[in-house]
Amino acid sequence: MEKQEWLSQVRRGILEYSILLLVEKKAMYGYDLISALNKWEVLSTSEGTIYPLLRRLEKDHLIQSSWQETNPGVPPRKYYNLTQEGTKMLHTMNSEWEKLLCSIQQIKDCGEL
Amino acid sequence: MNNKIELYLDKVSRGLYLTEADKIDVISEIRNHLHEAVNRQEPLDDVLKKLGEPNKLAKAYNHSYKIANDEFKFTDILSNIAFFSSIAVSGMFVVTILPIVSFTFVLTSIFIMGVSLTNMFGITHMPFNIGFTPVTGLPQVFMAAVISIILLLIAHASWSGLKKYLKYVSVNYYQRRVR
Repeated sequence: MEKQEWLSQVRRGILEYSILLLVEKKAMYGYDLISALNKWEVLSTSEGTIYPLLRRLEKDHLIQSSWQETNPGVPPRKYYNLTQEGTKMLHTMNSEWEKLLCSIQQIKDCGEL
Repeated sequence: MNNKIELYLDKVSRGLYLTEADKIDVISEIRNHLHEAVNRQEPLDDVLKKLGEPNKLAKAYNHSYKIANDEFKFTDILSNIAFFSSIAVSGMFVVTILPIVSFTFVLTSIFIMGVSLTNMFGITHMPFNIGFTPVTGLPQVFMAAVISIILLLIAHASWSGLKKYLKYVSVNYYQRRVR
């Protein structure tokens, strides 16, 4: 299996988690989010993936959005932030993520199961 | 540059199977993205390339919700049966009767007005009765105008009713497809 193929499989689930973590800190708009994710090579994903994903998260009521005008001549930005449901989901994800890391670590440590 | 952006957005928009409001929302967000990128001196061609082919992007949007809710429950089938059979039955009447009503009512109102005018100038001699009292001359034109206006109002109502019905059906259909 190619590295890229494996990475894209792993990333698929993590991306939603990363987005929720980012918008938990402060409201962000699409371009902002993509630039933030691009800071880490393993997380950087194409724009064509992020935007539909944001829409899905919004439709699932995990995030909510508001349009905000910026400078004149620039189209308004769509800012996202967490909903109550999203906050709850993020807490669940945090604890599951810990369990996941723990399990992987245990597998590595054990050698033989 | 703006032309290129709008051309791209137009292509995306045509591929989206979403409600009109959702389409505007999606397109506005991508428009903002493109402007943000260009304002930061990113070459437009690169930015468009990163977003991908317009129809592929549209497809990703169309699928984005389907993938999340892949399972199709028994109640979904029931609600689809209810939706499509109610549309089939109502459509049989609405889509046939309303256009005919609005079309013939417009024609009739033009005809009545025309006849009352030609009657007044003595070109034609069609009888024009309100109840059993024949009306002639200017009162006849006045009566004809009143009736024409009523007919035109009904025609207009049928026409906009038809448009509303068609819009309702398409919007609900598209929502069904993405949900």
